[in-house]
Amino acid sequence: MRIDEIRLTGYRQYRKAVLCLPQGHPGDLHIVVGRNGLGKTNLMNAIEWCLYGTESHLSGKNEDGLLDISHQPPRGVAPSEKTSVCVDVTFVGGDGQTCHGTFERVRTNSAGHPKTHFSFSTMTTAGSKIYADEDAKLWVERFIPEGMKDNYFFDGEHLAVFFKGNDPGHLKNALWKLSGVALLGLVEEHLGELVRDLQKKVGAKIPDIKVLTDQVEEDKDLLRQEQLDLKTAIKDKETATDALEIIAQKLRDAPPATELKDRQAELETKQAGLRQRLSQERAERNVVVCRLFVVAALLQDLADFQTRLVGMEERREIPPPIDGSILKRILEQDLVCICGTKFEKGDEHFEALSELLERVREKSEFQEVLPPQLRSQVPALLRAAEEQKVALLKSRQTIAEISDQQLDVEKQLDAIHNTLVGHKVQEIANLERQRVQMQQRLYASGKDEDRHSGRIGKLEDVLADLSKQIEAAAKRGKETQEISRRMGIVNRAMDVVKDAKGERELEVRGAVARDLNESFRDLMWKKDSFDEATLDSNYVVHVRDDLGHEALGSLSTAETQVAAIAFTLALHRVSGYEGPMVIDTPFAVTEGELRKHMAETLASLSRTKQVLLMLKDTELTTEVEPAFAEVTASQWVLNNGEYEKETVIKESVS
Amino acid sequence: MSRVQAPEILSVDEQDVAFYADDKSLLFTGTGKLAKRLSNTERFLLAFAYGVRYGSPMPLKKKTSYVRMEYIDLDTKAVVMAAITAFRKGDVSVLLDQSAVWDLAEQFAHEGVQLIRQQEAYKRGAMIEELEAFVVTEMDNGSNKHA
Repeated sequence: MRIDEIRLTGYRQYRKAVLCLPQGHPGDLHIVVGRNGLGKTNLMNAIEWCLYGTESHLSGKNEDGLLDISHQPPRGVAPSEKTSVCVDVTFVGGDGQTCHGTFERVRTNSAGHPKTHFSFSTMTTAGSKIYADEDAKLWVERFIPEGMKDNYFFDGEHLAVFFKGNDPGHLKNALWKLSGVALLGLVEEHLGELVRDLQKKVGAKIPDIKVLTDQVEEDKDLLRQEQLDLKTAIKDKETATDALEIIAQKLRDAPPATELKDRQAELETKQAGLRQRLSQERAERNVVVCRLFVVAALLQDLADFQTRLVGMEERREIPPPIDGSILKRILEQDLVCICGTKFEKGDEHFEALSELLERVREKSEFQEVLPPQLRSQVPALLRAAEEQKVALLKSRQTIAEISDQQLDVEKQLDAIHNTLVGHKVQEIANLERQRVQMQQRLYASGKDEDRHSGRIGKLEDVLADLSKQIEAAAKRGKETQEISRRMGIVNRAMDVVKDAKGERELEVRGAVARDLNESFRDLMWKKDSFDEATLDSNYVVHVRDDLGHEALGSLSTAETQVAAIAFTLALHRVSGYEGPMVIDTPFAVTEGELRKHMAETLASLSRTKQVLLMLKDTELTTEVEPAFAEVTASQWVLNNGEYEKETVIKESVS
Repeated sequence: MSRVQAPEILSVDEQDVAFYADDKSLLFTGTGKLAKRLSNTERFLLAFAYGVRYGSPMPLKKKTSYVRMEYIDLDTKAVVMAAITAFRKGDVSVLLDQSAVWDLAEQFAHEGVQLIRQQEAYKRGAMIEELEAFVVTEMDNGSNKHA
């Protein structure tokens, strides 16, 4: 594979440039010569940008860096708007027919919105075809894979420090990428992931179907029991409901005990009132009886006494009161005046008259003992007794009435009492008790019903879940078998890949080691000084001198460059990607004899591979030119163009 | 015969004081606000009348002043006079000795208390009904007789 043509439009210094690289004979060496700053490195960068969209020296910058050069036209020439950057790189296969195509990367900047388009167009005998973006990238991988580009595009100075640090990881990675070992590793990794994924699936514990089935049977037994309990609870609930209905009906038919009790209380109050009235009435009656008893007991005596007093008055046996001094004056003075004779005590007439007067005086004393008020009191007493008798009779009647009322109340109370303490009250109490019991039973059966219904629901869910689990377990069993089978296949494939990788690695490492030694010995001018260049199992490059000592560290700059080229060539050959070798300023760090040997090495290399060298004008010296004379296929010179900062490429005629 | 003045205070026997003071006695029924009680004079008169009706004078063993004569009303005096007159076979002159009259009255009252106590103890509550029946009968007879 080689580069046939490079076309640059608007890329850095190159306003419009074409670099044709026709295959030469006997060598395929192409030289571009230019002073510093004219764009040698940018020419190599243009190839990188076209193929991979990046420039190694622009790392850290964005693609806008490509537009930082404007080519101002000379005076009198109208400036053309720089709207795009375009690099075309045309590759051809070894025979120029099997694979021939042009990569094109175009970058436009319209109204501040940069846009990049990448394409690959083939031009084979079968016709032309255009691939864009990702498809175009696949074609890049067929020419020079991106992972290998550092082994095709070199800076001369870089070649001089190629083995600095002698990083085996770098060499190993490069070698693996080139030889397909990395690809095998990737396959192995994917297979490993696949195996792990399958192991996870298989590793997940599959429930034991027997255990699940036993659980189902157990739960079914529980379900049956719960269903029986539910039926019992429902029946119990119905029984309690019916009983409550009957009790309610009976209670509706039963006499209202509360009314009776109210009536009883009312009658008891009335009874207490009557009792009080009776007591009061009796007390009054008793007083009247006591008062009347005095009159009644002595009624006859009083009547007699009254009669006697009346008789006495009529007979004037109750004279008015007579003062004793009057009688004494009559006896001692008045009788002397009347009779003219003084009577002495002991005289017969005096004594008779004194007795008479005494009897008159005694009679008159009744007036004091029985004053008129007292005499008139007896009839008044009798009248009052008559009145009290009427009151007594009334009182008796009242007492009788109250007693009757009391009897009536007592009868009512007895009736109520009999009703209350009778069988109906007991029945009501029993009904109330039964109602409470039935309500409790209804509540309990309702709760039981809810509980059993809930449990049945849960058990049904559990059974459904178990059924699903059994089904899933059976399915998983089959799946697991299938996965195990697949895992076996993948494991075998992974073993094959591992083996292939190991073999390929061994093969590649061996091939590289052999090719490295062969190329090194072929390219190195001090063939007697170095015994061999080798690659150990750790991918460390060794160069041994004729005494067998390690000589890589003591190699000169040119010798290191040669060793690096030898190693790169080995990589190219082993990987099968026989791309061109593009080296920028290969002689920058060498001079004199070493530069001559280096030029001879590159000239020798160009006989089997396309070599594109970017040389400063100071590098193309007398040590170099003779070596390149025979193998140079084309030579180009970089010069300032007509526009400001423009570089133009012109073929040099030697 | 010269007139003898009535005593200033009537006496009862000492053992009869409790009877007169007993408000709960059958004859003095009633309690609290509804109590209808006989006055001391009326109580004395009741005992006197009972004694006159059913007994004979009983001398007091130990006199205890009970009520002042000035509080004795005319009714009481009339009743006592009539009863004593009857007791003395209608001899009104007996009244001229007021001391003897009231002494006899005290003795009849003492007798009456004894009799009532006995009846109360014996009849146990039926006594008042008997008294009532007696009163009604006697009053009816008396009304008819004295009409």
